Amino acid sequence: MLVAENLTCMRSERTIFKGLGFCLQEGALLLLKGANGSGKTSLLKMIAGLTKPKEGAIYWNGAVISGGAASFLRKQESSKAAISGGKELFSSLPRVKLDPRLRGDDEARDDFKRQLMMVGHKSAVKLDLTVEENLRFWGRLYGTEMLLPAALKFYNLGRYQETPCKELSAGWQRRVALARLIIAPCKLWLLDEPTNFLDEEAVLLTASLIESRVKQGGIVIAASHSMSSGVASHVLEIGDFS
Amino acid sequence: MFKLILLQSLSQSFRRGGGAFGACAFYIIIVTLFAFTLSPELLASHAGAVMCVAMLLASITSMPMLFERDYEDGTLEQFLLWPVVLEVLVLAKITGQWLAVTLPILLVSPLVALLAGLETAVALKALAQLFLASFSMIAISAIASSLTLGAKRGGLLQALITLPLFVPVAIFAASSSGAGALLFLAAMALALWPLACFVCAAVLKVAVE
Repeated sequence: MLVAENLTCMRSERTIFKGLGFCLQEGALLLLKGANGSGKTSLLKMIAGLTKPKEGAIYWNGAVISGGAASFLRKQESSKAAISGGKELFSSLPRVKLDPRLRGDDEARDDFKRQLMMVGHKSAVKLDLTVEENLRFWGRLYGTEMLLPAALKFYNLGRYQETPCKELSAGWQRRVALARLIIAPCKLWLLDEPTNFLDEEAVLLTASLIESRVKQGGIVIAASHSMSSGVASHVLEIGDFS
Repeated sequence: MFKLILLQSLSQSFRRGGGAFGACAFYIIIVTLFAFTLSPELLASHAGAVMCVAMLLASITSMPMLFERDYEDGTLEQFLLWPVVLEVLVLAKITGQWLAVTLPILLVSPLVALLAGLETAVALKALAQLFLASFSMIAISAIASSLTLGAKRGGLLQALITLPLFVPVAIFAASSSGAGALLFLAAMALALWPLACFVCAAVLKVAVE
């Protein structure tokens, strides 16, 4: 279970968002909506642990993975994130019993990182390497090299298998980045505009990939302008806090 | 993990073109320029210094790529998401850079020493000094590379940071004194290599944030 409580993000003196919270159980798809600069990417980076919240905390299976523990659940009602689509998960956060052995522990953070796969704006695709080499790297990293053919097949990357990624279009490079999701057996996916550059076929493939992950009990958080709110179990509209 | 990153760095360096080959060519050209401008006697007596400075300049030309590409394509973000000590990943990157760029330079150095007209004993000593200095060189360059990450004209800035820091190493690498210089260079290498890993890791974390 992923819990975010009373998150505040500031950039210089500007408040990007504040009092933001949610709780996601297994099998949840959270769609982040909001205008440009509203903080969708910042929130994803915060959840991933790449940036720290100014206030608030993030918990994974009851253990603190980012931010301070002291304020946990004290200000549940303070969440000011607007909730759309009548999906009311965020209005009241369930009380999570913190495991003191994991609380703020490096071990808990490592466990979280092992369960996390993020596909950000930047695709982390090595342009000098071929499609196969890029994906094989991830397969070796996670010990799931046997999933490489499935990943290539899913996104129809077979014909470009031996092609250096620098020779591919942005859309095909994005497919290579998303194919990592098939190779890495991670429970939590953080996707930042996953359908950017993708054609219609790849958008549908990505939607089905996300859907199957959610059905298998994964948690997916996607920031997207193009994805329909109907596919998400929860929608979080990040408002203007300036 | 270390091996994976190391192999990936090596593949990229050789695939990219201009990496190992470019640095080697740059190195040979610089030494050749000295060969044309100095008398044979003067070149033979200063060949160690010339080779050392040439290697430093050749290394600097390829160092901006050490972290820059990972930063630009998002791999650096992914590094921070893995449950692995970042210092280990930095060590793999630095080792990869040393193997891909510095080692080929060291391998062509005997040939360069021969062209410079060095006697065998002098050449061997110069090569030993060059070998030990190369570790400090790459460590200092890696720190500068991380500090200039994302900066416009980062290459120039990196050179401005690296060159003054390299002065102590250059003095001993070009020195004609005996075992003392070798010991100093070895000590510098042993101190700077781990230091570079810690400093680079800390700076990279800040850069991604």
